[in-house]
Amino acid sequence: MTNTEFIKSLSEKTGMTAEQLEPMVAQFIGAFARELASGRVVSVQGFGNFESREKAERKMYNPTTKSYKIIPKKVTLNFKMSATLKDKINS
Amino acid sequence: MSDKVTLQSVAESFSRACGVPKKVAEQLARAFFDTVVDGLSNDESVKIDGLGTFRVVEVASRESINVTNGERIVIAGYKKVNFIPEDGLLVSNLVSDMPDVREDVVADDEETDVSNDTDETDIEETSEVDDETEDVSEDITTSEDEEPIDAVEAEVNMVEVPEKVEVQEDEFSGIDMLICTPESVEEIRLELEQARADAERKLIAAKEAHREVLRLEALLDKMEKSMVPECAEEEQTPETEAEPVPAMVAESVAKENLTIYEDIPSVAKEESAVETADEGQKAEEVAQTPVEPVEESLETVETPSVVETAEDENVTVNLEATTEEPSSEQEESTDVAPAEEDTKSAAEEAVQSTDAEVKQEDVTAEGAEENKDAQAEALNRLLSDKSAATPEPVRKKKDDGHYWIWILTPILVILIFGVSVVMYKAHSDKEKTELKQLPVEPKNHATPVKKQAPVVKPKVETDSIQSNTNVPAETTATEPAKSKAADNKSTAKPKTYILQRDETLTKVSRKFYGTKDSVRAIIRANKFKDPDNVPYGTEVILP
Repeated sequence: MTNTEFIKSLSEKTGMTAEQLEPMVAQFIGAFARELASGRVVSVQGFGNFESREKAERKMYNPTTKSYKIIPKKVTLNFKMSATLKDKINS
Repeated sequence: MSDKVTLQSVAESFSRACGVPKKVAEQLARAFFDTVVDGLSNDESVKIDGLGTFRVVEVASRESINVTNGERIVIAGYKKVNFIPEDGLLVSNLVSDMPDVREDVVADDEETDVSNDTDETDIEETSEVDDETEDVSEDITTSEDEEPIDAVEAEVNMVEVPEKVEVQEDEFSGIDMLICTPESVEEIRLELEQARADAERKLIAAKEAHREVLRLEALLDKMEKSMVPECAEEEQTPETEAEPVPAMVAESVAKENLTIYEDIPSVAKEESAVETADEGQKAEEVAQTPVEPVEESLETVETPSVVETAEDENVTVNLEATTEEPSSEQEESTDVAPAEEDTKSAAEEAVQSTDAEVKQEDVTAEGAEENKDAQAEALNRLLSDKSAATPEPVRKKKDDGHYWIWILTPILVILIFGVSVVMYKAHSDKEKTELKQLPVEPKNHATPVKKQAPVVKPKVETDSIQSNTNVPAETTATEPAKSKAADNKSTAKPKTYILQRDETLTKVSRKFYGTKDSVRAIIRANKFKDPDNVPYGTEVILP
């Protein structure tokens, strides 16, 4: 399902046009991402939990060059689906 | 982990941000994820721009062991939803990632600073050179200046372009993600301030760079202007006349200056050939025959620096000048001759000119001396004038700090090298003498046997015999003596030997036969019951 298809199906559900929806979806995602970026877990009922995790800085050893490389810390987004979603998908 | 936020609260913040009613926002949020679920339940991946991709992934069934009873169980395979966030989903919104952006900006600033610094140093260097030498070095420096200017401009462009790009990126990210809420407004404001500060910093840097460019341009203009009056003056005085030609050449091609100097004579020689012939005739009229080649050579040297018309003017002006002040100009000529040689030698080093040219220069020097001798003759004066006129420009051309350095550095290097070589030689000689002395001393301390052994062979034999006879009692014979004894065992060896304390049969064998292999023979001869344990004091028969 591509973005356009997603918007189309969303418009069918909400009764709004795709033109209306597109900026709204973008803004919603923005709000969603900001919540995550501030380090909070966003749990969507019936769907799953979104969690941003900070990966600490670590050293990596390159055996061929025998040198250590520092990999800087980064933030990853982790998603864990809920049990209901699992049931739905596996049913 | 910290605090959980439900979709409702997200919807709330979204509604606040966009002025959408809360109900609608919640509806939208619900519908949003419902559609995702719908898409996923059809075994499809759902791609949402700006968020990421939800994908259904099959997890294969696997075996495991029940921890409580140790039974093997099979965990059934299932499908799970995998979410791959879009690049920069968090980065564009994360506060913790802001420092990275700042670091980039700082790095950019540093680069611009560095470029400015280098520019300044360039300018300083060139200005210093200008102060020191005003003649041809100016041309070189100006032409060198042109390159830095281009570089500076290029750098300025380089600086400006990324700046614009970054600004655009900032705008886009702002539009995409941050709208409406007071929080977001504050964030945007912060970002704006940062961006503005960065932009200002970069602008200042760019301005500085631009100023440098302007300054350099001004410098170049000034130099060019200063060169123009020189040209005007040079027409009046013959000494400086030679300058404009190389100067112009130097302007056009800076670093190939010297090669051009070489090239010019080949062209100019043909032009001046007529003149040389004319003046050669003049010389024939008044001066002796030997002067002719000298003059010609002089002119061949002249031609590289002076153009036809200039040369004519030279001659006339010189004639006038010589009538007025003949002595001073002759002095000049004499002064110039060595200077010329110096400069020419410098030129040789720099350009590696041919031997023929060197010879010409030598001839010119001789010619100058000849002029000195024949002071009374007017033509000779003319010649001297010419020599005065020609070498001086040459000297001015090459009498820069650069060439002095060219001359001085090799001399210095050679001097240092020579001194070091001398020092090293002296040192090594000393060491050698010491070494020679050293080995002699221990010989003096050594035992007479040892000392005499290497000197004369017949003596050694007798000595060693003596030592061998003495050794059994003393047991302190030196090794060379032993070896010698081994060589002469047939004569030196005693028939019996009383074993000393801490002495083994092996030692005895080594002492008298030179090798430990003779132990068996000794044992056989003595018929020891226990050859491994022979008490000291026993008489050992030496076979």
